Formats: sequence, C-alpha cells, structure tokens
Amino acid sequence: MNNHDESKYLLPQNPRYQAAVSSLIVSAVFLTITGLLLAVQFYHLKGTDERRSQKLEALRHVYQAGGTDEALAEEIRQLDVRYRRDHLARLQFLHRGSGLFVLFGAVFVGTILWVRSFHQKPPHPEPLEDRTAAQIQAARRARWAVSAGTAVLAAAALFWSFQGSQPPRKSAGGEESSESRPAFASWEQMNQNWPVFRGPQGAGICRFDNIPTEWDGASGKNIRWKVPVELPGHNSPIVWENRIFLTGADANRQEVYCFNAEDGALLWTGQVPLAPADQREEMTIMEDTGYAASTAAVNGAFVAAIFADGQAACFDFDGQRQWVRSLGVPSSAYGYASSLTVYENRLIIQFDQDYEPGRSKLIALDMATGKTLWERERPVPNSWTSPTVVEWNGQMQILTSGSPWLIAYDAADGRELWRLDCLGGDVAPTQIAAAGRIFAVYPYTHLAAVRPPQAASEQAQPELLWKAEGSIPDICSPVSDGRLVWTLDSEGVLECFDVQDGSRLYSQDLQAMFHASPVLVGDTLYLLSTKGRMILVRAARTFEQIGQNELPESFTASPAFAPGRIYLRGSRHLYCIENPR
Amino acid sequence: MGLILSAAAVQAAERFPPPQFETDYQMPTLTTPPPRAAVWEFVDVGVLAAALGLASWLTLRKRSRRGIAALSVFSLLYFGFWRQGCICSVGSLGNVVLSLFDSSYVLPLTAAAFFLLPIFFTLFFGRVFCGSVCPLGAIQDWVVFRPLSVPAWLETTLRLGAWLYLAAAVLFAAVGAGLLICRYDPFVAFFRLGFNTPLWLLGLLFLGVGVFIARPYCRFVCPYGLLLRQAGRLSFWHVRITPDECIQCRLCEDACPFGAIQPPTAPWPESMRPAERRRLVFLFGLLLVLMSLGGWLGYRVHAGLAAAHPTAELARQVRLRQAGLIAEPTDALRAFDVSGRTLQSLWTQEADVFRRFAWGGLLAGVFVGFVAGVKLIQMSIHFKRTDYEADRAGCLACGRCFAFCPRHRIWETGKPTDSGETS
Repeated sequence: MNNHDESKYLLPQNPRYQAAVSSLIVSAVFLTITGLLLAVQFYHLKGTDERRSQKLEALRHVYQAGGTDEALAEEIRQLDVRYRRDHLARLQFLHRGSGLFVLFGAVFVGTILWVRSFHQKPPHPEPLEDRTAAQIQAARRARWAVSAGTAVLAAAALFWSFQGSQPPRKSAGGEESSESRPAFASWEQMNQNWPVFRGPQGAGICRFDNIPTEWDGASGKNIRWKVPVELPGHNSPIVWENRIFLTGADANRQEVYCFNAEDGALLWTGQVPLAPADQREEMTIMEDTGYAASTAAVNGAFVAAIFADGQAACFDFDGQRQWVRSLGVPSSAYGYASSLTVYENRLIIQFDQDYEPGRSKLIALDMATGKTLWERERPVPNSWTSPTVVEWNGQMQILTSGSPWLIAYDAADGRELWRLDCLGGDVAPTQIAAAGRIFAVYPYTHLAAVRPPQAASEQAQPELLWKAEGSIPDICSPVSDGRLVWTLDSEGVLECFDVQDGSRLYSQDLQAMFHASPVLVGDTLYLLSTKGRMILVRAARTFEQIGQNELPESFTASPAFAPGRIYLRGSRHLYCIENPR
Repeated sequence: MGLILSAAAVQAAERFPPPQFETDYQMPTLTTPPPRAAVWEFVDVGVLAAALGLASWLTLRKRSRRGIAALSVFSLLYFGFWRQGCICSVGSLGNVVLSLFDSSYVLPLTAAAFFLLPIFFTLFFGRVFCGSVCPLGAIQDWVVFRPLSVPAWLETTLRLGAWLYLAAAVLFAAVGAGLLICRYDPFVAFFRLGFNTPLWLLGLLFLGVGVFIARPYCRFVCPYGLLLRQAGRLSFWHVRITPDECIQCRLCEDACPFGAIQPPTAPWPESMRPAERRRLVFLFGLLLVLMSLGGWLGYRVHAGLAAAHPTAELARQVRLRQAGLIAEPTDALRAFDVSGRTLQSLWTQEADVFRRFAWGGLLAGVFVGFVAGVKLIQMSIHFKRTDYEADRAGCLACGRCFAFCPRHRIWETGKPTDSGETS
C-alpha cells in the first residue's frame, strides 16, 4: 500500500476533509433549492401571468359590452394592480434568485475543488506503445473522421436545402413579385410540368421524353419507388418539378400530401378542416366518388385542393397553409368530383350542383389569399367534369362542360365568351381542345366536335361540326393527337374517330374496366385499367396493342407524367415508374 | 437547441402591457438610460490590456497556475458579472465584420480594441486571452472536475462545427441579419442574472457538459477561438510545459484536459512515403472539389438562412397578413404600417436580402469546404517533435501542465538542477 492509498483511508478522519465534504453538501442543497424556486417562479411568470392576462382581457370585454358597470370596473382595476404587482415581484425574485444561484454555484464549485484537493492522484503514465503505429492509426482515424464529418455536414445542408424556405418567386414576366401581382409560374413553366388534372391544359398529352413502356409490379422492374398513401382518394397526382401533390380524405379527415419525386418521401401533409357536421350530414357520397375525387392544382407557387364537402384550401410548397374557404357542401347526386385548374394567380373552381340549374357557379379565387376574384353563375345542374384553360386566338379561355352547355369564359375576368347546346345527362368526361376544335362528351350518346368562334366579337358563334355516336364514355375523358380522337368507356371499349368528320375508324373491346382517362405519349396511348393493367396502344387509324404492364392494385386515378417518369396513384400506394438509367 | 433558441426569441418579444387608466392620469414619458460615460470604455480597454499583459507575465515568466486561476476569477467578475458580458472580444468579431460590410455602421473603438488586443497578444505570447482573460472561458474553466480525454479524431471533427458557426456568424453579420455570437452567447444570461430567459438552459448545458468535456464552448463552438488558434500557431513566445528541457518523463502526458499536449513523434517509415505523396496529390484535388461542393451547398441553403433576416421575416408576415392568416398585427407589422414604406420597397429589400444571402452562402460554403480540405491535408503532413510540447494552436494557456513537470518543480523551488543551473 503506497502513501496515496494510505491517505485515502485516513481521509474520513481528517477534520478539514470533513469540513470540505460538509460544505459541499450544504452548498449543493442550497443550490438545488434555489434552482427549484427559480424554476417554479419562472413557470408562474410564463404560465400564470398569461392566464391572468387572458382573464383580465375577458373581463374587459365583458365590461365594454355591458356599458358602465362600475363594480366590474373596480374589480378590473384591483385585479390589474394585483397582477401587475405579482408580476413585478416575480421578476425581482428571479433577478435576486439568479444572483443567489450564481453565488451558491460559485460556492459549490469551490467546495468541489476543495474536496478534490484531497483526492489528487499523481500522474501514472501507461506503458509506452509503438508510437509509429499509433501515429499512423491516429492520422488515418482523423482523416476518416473529418471526411465523415464533412459528409454529414454536406448531407445536412442538402437536406435542409430541400426543406428550407424558397426565395421570393418570380411571376410570368420574370419580375419580382409585388403586391398587385402575386407569384405564379409562366404559361411555359406550366407546360413543362403536370400542374392539373390530365396535365397541361387538361389535354391528357405528355410531351416528355423517355417515358417508360415496360414495368412489372410483381418483380419491381422499373418501379423506382412505391410509397403508401394514408387516406383514399380518386384524385390524380399532379407534379411540379421535384414535388408530387395529391389529396386523400375519409369521413373524418381531409389531407393534402406532398411527396418528394426523387424518393417518394412524404415531405409534408396539409390538413384541411371539415365542413360543419350539420352540413356534411346532407352530403351524398357514392363509394365510387369518395371524399377526395377532385384533383388538386398547382401554379408554381401554391397548391390548392378541394374536397367533397366544398372545403377548398391552399398551401405553399413548404406545406404552410395559406387559406381555407368553405364554399358550402355542394348538392351532387354522386358526390362532388370536379377537379381544379389554375390560370396565373387564379384558382378556377367549377362548382356545379343541384338537379336543376340555379346554384351552379364558376369561381375564381386568388391563389395567394383565397379571396374571390370573380364568380359566374352557370345555367347547368350538377356535373362531374373539370374546367380546362386553353389559348384560343391569343385569348386565354376557360372551357367547361355541363348539361346541356359547353361554355367558354374569359380566363382573366370570367366573362362568358360563348356557349353551345351540345351536351346532356350526367356529364363527367372533361372536354379537350385539339386541331382548332373542342371535343366534348355527352355520356352514352355522342362525342361532339365544336369549332369555337373565329373572332372575338359577340356576333361570332361556335359551330357544331359533327356528332359521333358509339360506345361513348361516362367517366373517361377523350384524347386527341390533332388528327384522331379516341374515347374509352368504362367497359373498356376504345374507339377512334377522325377529327375532320367524326367517322369512326375502329372500336376495340379491351376486355377491362377503366376509370382513368387515357394519356397520349408520343404516338402511344397509355390506358390504365381499374385492375392495374396499363395497355399501350399505337396512336394510329387502326388498332394495334403494343404492350401491357401490370401493377398489383386497383387504379381509378389518371396517370401523371414527368420527364422520364410516370406517377400512378393506386388504391393504397403511389408509384413512380422510370426506365433504368 | 433549436427549441431553446426559438423560445428565447419568443421571450424577447414578451411585454407586460401598460395600465389602462380611465382617468386624467398622464402616462409618464418613456425614458431611456443615458449611455455609459466614454471614460468607462477606455477603462474597459485599459483593464483588458492590463489583464492580457498580466496573463502573459503569469504564463510565460512566472509560470503560475495559481496566478492564472486568480486572474481568471477577476476576469469573470469584471468582464462577466460587472460588465455583464458586453463588450467581449468573442462578440466583437460580429461588430468588426458588420463595420466592414455596412458603411453606415461605425465600429466603436472599444470593439476594435477588444477584437485586436487578444489577437495581438496571441501573436506574441500564445492564447493567454483564452487562459485567464476571457469570461466565457473562465466560467467553464472552473467546472472542469472530471475531464475525459477526447480522441484527437473526434476533437478535430467536432471543431468543424465551430468553423461552420464562424462562417454563419460572419455571413449574418455581413448581410446585416444580426450578431449571432452575441445573440446566442450561452453565458450572458448568467452574467446578467436574468433567469427569465431560456438561454440559462443553454448555459447550464454547456457547464454540465464542461464537467466532463473541458471547455466545450471554447473548443467546439467559439468562432473567435478559431481566430486565436491560427494566431497561436504563429506565436513568437508561447506556453512551454517545461521551463528548460524536456526529460521525456511522460508525467505530463495526461495533464491537459484539452488534449493540447503533443508527444514526441516517431520516425515515419520510409516505405510509406510514396503512398503519402499520392494521398497529398489526391487531397489537393479534393480540396477543390470540397470548395465547389461547399459553394454549391451554401448557395442552396441561402434561402433558408435568409428567412432569419428581419426584412425577410417582415415580408413573410406581410404576406401572411395579406392571406388573412395573422389576426393580430405583430410589433414589426405595426412598425411597418406607420413607417410609410411601400410594399414595393419591402419586396425590393427582401429580394436584395436574398441576393446577398445567395452570394454570402456561396462564399461561406466555399470557405467551409476549404477548411475541411485543408484539415485533411494537414492530417496527412507529419511534423517532427522530439519533446512533449504544448500545441500552439490548441493550448489555452491555463498553466495546468506546469505542476506535472518535475523540471518545473525544481525551477519553482530554485533548487539546482542536475546540470547545476538554477532558475
């Protein structure tokens, strides 16, 4: 036993050591008590005072509402004085208590050092190791550690750059956003994304390259990622650069989802409040429609969504909700299903309802604020079609379908430009524009080709060019390449018409059910059946199937596209399909 | 940490409303305390210079740990509790940067002196400021009870965080977004006895960690400490463990709680030289890659950083109000409303803020990439040492190692050494 060990055993008898330990304990107790008291007072300062302020404020409101109640005024005065006195007393307590805390802390530190002075150990170096090896290993470890640290910092910065704020966005003209001209993307940017139902102008035409033609859900071939979607919805995905948006809802929740296009990670979920319960009780929602049938819309700065109960909401790209509008629960035979569209800063809502015309409207809201920019009554009953924005003779027009009218509005101010009686029934397929014509669908009856007025004058009238009969769809919208136009009904009959005269070129039964609308990619039609089979058909005057791919899920939403990719929303999952790089 | 800091921000905005009188009572006019007399600023500079001079003498000539400890108590009381942590050399870095980029800001002489004097003394005498004059260091130094040895690889890696903080502090000061170092000084709440601020928790956290990891703020956070590290490398005189010669007794090996004692190096194997040269060439190439990557990442995160600027925050609030998402206007909105400024001017200023952050973020990223690259190169170059030496950059001049050296004991008592010399 060396001297150090001996002194260790003698320490308890050493009166100076005993004094040091006692001082340490006493100072620790005082420090703890002071700390607790300070914490309690701090809690009161934050919590109690806030509650008192609210109580005082409530009393003031009562006083202001009730006229001159002198007794209440006196009570308010006394409370005010008491609360103020308590607050100042607490502040003083905290200030003095902090001083005591620091003082006891210093004493505590001093006594610890005092006690430690009795436990000093002489240095005792370890046996000398091989310095060369140790140096080499230390240098190697340090290099790896710094490399790893740098990589972590870089990854964190990269992650943050995707999560963080966006710089002020620019408007169509490229100038900085201003009070009179909120941020939105240009027409060209809209066409480079998939911002609304069925893509740019709702035409169902994909102009991106390298779109996959083969994939397989069972083996995972060309499935880049697949992620679950929490709430159901028949609405289709929309895409803006590296973000994918879609919505989901059930009887209790309504949500907007934003996914990262690269890896399918859910970036944020936006909550949209339900309409009041008494209004929702009157809703008629068919299972085939659901609570979230309407596809959202994005204008490069904001994404907006609407649900079956007429609740519309808008979010920025970081998931911050900008506004919520309650348009009232629409009276719709199968449930509200019209998708949204956008034009610059305007969010266009086709709000058709009731069995008879009278309450239907076309509404334009400011995407940034949710304020109504204009509103137009529509002479149609409930419909399930979606508005589309197209350019016609240099003018931006909003096209709408409803029984019996195909109507065009000025996208800027909502002024009605023209209308044509060519529709009927429960209209659900959305009109398209191609080859200088508009193709609109009267379910089960005919496909109508309409030439819009050639001049902007009020005398100019639209012209019904032809009507074509056949297996006319009740849900799926048509698609056209400018020479031919195709329709696809729910029972799987694909029909092809000549845009010039409406002559039917072929009618082919695909032996499958379809709710998703067809999309034209190059010279290939992409037809997604309800059982997840994507049938690829040559866009030609004769029918030729050129491929088919399977996914193990049911599908009702129309596909969305981005350069090199397809996004498909199934009943439970969102898929990204991409050719191998 | 983020929670604490955000809570601090909320706390800063708290106001107790003035009384609502219904009588003819005249509210007294608000008054502000007069500025401190200029003479006291010169006194502060004088005290700093004297403390630095005394610290240099105690460290290099007197070699007195007790003296250094006593001076650190004085510094803690004077610069900490008496001057309430302001002005301090650590925070003066922000003032200096701001004065370089904002022509409307005139750098106070006191701030300039507090920034330059410690660097000046470090160039001559090592980091004597950190050892006994800095109040932030002093308060941590007194809780180093059970220091654990931090491996060199971990120490070097963690210090990357300090470089990042330095880059952010300089960026924020340069673009006028605020003085980060002062705003998040973890010990100023102690010095001001202001328990009603959550920064107390941050201070307690550092002190709690400091019981086991000596001076965590100084080693892994302090941006000014990084400047002094570089100045310390160039120091003309500096702390030496032994007063005369190292007898390789190894007793000081574990004496430094900051891991700043470097052992003698062994000869490097000749067989490794070619591989070392190839690695160096690779690392010089990597340096350029890291700088480019850093610049790119710095540019990418600029929008997130810019959101912290008061102008960007005001613009955000204005947008929220336009969207109907702010029911009660904030103080900033009220001030904006009565200022007469147009929205267009606000958008223009906001765009300017983002532009400056874009450039600043790029440069800050290049800088951090440069630091990481240089560190890797530095760790691939081998320096020859024959004795146990205090690392000029890392040594905080606390003097703890003196007592571990038997040569110091002999020197201290004045007894002749083996060679017959006396001190």
